[in-house]
Amino acid sequence: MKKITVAGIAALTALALAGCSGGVGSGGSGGSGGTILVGGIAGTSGAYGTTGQAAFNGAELAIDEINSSGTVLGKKLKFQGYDDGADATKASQLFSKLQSQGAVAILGSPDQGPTVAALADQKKFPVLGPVDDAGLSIYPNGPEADPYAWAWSTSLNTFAWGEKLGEYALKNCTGLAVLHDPSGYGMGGLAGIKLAYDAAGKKLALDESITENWSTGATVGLKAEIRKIKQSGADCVDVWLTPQDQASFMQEAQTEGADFTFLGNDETCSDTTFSGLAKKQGDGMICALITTDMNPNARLSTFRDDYKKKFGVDATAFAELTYDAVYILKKAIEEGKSTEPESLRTQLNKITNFDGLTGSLTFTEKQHSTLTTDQLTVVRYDAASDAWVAVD
Amino acid sequence: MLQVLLSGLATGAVYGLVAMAFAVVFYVTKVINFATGQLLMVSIMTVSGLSAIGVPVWLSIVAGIALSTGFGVAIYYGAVAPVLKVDRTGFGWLVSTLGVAIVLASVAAMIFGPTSRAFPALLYHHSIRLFGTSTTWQEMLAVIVAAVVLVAFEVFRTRTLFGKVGMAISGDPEMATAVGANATAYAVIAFAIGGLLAGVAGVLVGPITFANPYLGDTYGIAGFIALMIGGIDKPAAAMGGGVLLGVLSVVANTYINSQASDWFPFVVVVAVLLIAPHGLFASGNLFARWLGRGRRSAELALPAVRS
Repeated sequence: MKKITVAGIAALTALALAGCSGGVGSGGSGGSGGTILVGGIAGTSGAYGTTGQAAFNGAELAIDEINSSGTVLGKKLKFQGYDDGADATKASQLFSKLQSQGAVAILGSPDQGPTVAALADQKKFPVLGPVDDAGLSIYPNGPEADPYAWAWSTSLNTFAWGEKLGEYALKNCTGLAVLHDPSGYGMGGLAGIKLAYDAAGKKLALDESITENWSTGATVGLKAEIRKIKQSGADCVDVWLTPQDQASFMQEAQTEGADFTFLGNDETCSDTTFSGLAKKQGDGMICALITTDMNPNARLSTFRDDYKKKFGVDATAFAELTYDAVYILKKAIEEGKSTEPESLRTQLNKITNFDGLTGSLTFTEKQHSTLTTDQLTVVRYDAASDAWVAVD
Repeated sequence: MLQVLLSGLATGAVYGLVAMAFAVVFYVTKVINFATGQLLMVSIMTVSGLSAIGVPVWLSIVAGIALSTGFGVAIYYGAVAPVLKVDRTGFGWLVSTLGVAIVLASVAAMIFGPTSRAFPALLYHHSIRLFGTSTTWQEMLAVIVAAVVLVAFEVFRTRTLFGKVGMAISGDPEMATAVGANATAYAVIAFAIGGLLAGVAGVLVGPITFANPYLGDTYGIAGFIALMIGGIDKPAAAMGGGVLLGVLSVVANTYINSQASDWFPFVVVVAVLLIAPHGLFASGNLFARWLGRGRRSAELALPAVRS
């Protein structure tokens, strides 16, 4: 008995200490009675924890603003966000939990988007905002097919980023190699790049799938890939991997004397992870930014100031796009005068030229991702000034 | 092929050091410290954190290795000794060391944040050409350090009185204790050496992986697989398993596909467990006997003690 107790206490203590992932909430104090509950699912721990936290912060800021300036259908909004720990099973459980708590819609998940979007379709329950990096999370059968009927993304969009970077490569590279992870994220980026290449009637020089440890990066170095890229004749390589693997690969390639032009993905320039790791070795990395992020208007500047004041850190694109998602949801509720799922679906599909922080945003029956190539600017990392500068 | 071999050796040297860290602890205490990978992480995060605030890199490295060593000892006193006290032959340590691993990663994530941080490049930006191949001084350093550690440890284990007493404790702790050996002191030292080796492995691999609180899982699993391939009963065998795993992983990545290093090691482990259940380089199996043919080993000099 004593043996069982000691082992049991050790296990429970460890699990309790490691697994204590509390929810994040803001707004009203009640359940669904006097408030409208907006749910959130995001990985706020783990390697992508900062992304999930930024999404929750953006939602909180929007809901606080809405509540301080009035009500929605006579009720205050309440936000309840949960950490999915970048785990699909947990995200699925949290989806049911939020539904049972009376949430009218769910924001997220930036890391488990495919799971949450598929659940939304199964349960006919609206999911919007930072749904992974859109792409195959929203359009599971590819960019030309229909999207999930119950998922709307204001998030970064792998199709758009891939296509934009593909267009850059077509103009500036003799041959393009793509290293991508085999998940929906990597395949979405590849699909975007291929949109540009197929339109131009060109083929990729190399397409390699790399299984990443999403927490820490690839276990075995990517040196073998450098040789394969050289043999393929490519002079450019799009490293559609985590920012840490991008930094590691650039470092390794330069040590090997490989003279490639490196292209990244939507995560590369969305925060300081890549630039902080790669430092001067990251000089010249090509990425794409939301144009409004590069040239912030007064509203976006105010948001950034308020965000920094409230959370003590700089706002990222995931904060901005989740903030936009809350306001889009508010508009959908008010336009339909209802929080019923079917009403929300109808109204969300009618969102047209919504003036958001991330640009002019539109949803239709067929378009469930707001960010397109038109809203992106290609940028290059300048290590000397530690800044992303627009490429002409 | 030489290039692949060289890359594999460098990768395998790090796996081997982690595997040795597992093996040294098991050799003396018959406990597998499942927080070994996290000790590597402790070293990496410490070096990263201290160097980021301006502490000289060499001092950060010393502090990182010292801390992983210290944590190794703390794991013995905090998570292993109390469990063994209750039941020396039980498996409570399995849960307690796993618990420590989870707690260490979570605490590191709380202190340093969950995303990767910069790590000093050390010798990683200095490349070297060797017989038409290209590598870095950092990778060469990993191979050299692994070789030195292996030789030093084996000499210490088989040629010094201290090492021979350790062999005696490993073979029969009750008997060794009855004749005056301090098994507890040896257990503490084994955990300290385990932490030290994991810490050194962290410093060697940090410039390549950067610093991440969850890195311990990756290298802990790789080290454990290496341990299974090489053999659990001798630290040197574990190093052999690490080197073999590293080479095979890079070979798989190069000649099969880029994802092969994820599944290929497990195929190797299953094959090894079928062919040589105690590991390829473990005492007594055919492969090890073939490798050691004609060699007068320390075991012959000390026949009463199982090495």
